[in-house]
Amino acid sequence: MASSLAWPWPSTWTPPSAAAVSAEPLVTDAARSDLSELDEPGLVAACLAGRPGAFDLVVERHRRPVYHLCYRYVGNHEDASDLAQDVFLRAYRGLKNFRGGSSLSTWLYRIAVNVCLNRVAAKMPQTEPIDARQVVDAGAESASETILKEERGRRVRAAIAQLPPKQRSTLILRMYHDMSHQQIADALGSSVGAVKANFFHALGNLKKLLEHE
Amino acid sequence: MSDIGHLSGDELVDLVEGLVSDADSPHVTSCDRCRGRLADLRAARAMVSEVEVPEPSPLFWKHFSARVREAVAQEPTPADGWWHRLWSWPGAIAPVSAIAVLVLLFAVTFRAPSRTRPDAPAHVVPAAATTAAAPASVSLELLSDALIADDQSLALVADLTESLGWDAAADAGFVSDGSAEHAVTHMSAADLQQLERLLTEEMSRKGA
Repeated sequence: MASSLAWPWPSTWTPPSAAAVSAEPLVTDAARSDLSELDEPGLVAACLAGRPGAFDLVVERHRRPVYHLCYRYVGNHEDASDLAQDVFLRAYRGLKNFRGGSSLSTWLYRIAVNVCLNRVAAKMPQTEPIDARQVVDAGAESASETILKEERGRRVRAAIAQLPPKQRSTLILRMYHDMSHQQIADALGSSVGAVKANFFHALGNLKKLLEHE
Repeated sequence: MSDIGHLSGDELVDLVEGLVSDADSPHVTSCDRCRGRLADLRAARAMVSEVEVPEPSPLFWKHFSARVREAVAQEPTPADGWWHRLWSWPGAIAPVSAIAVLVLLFAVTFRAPSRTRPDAPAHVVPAAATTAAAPASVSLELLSDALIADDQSLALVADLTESLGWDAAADAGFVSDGSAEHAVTHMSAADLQQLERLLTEEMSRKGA
């Protein structure tokens, strides 16, 4: 069942052309300013109307949490960035079906969860080795503290990856994206009761998995 | 409460997340089992909360937006489904014209034989049928007089609608904007000639 939901995995990420990166979208500052003043339904309407720069703004507003959510599932930067790109592409294709029943971020999370679960079903995540991670903000921690923290993080990520899909999704959305039980229920298409039950079992299973290591 | 008076999963989750304080749940202080389970859940939650996502470099976000922009540029506008594109102007002219021609050919093909037999008695067209045929009469202006004369019902319709112009037909509610009739009657001169040629050929073949 799960494998039947898998889609052809995009080829290895290739960086965008230099021209594409350097070339800003053909949107004037005034037009961009107009777009940035739009509320969520207005921005969605602008996207549907094909206004230049409208979807760029959607990406800009939501790219970070979507990328983080994808990273929580796959545990490495390359796959997370590919998945996040796929999330936005699917969102663009499906934007005409967005009814505004939930917030745009909840709707994007829903897409992201489906994309990530399909991905995880098709290919086990490859977590990055510690020395390859892009740790930007190590703060004032000592090297040994950083290594220990990374090691704990690796163990917890590995344990989370072993949780059943609903428990994993509930845990990630609750713990790392600060979503309410109701928002998670909306994103996963379940009930608040089921969300709380999944969260309870997720924590219990994590405790057991981490004890057995 | 569940499990013979112990806290349920929901109640434990509320305690773990601080939605309910320990003070509001006296059972926790009196039950070793529930207190132990609550401690385990809190420990697991604390471990999970420590794990952070390594933050990509600021340059990554610029590259990421560019990648998405490139991918989206290959896509049609979200609102442009095939149905929308089919009926949008000027894309609609080809399919609408084709449908209109097919409808006319179909109508002419199946009406002509019974109407053009010289030995057949003249048909008396009921008033209701005449009214229903009125919209088609606008398009029948395209037919030659000779063809109309061969068909008594067509001739009757032509007589009845001789003075009926497009605006009058529209006012009468026989047509609406964007309809097939509209497309046919707004064809270019070349398209009209082509349509007339096709109809003439078809009528000649059936009449032969």
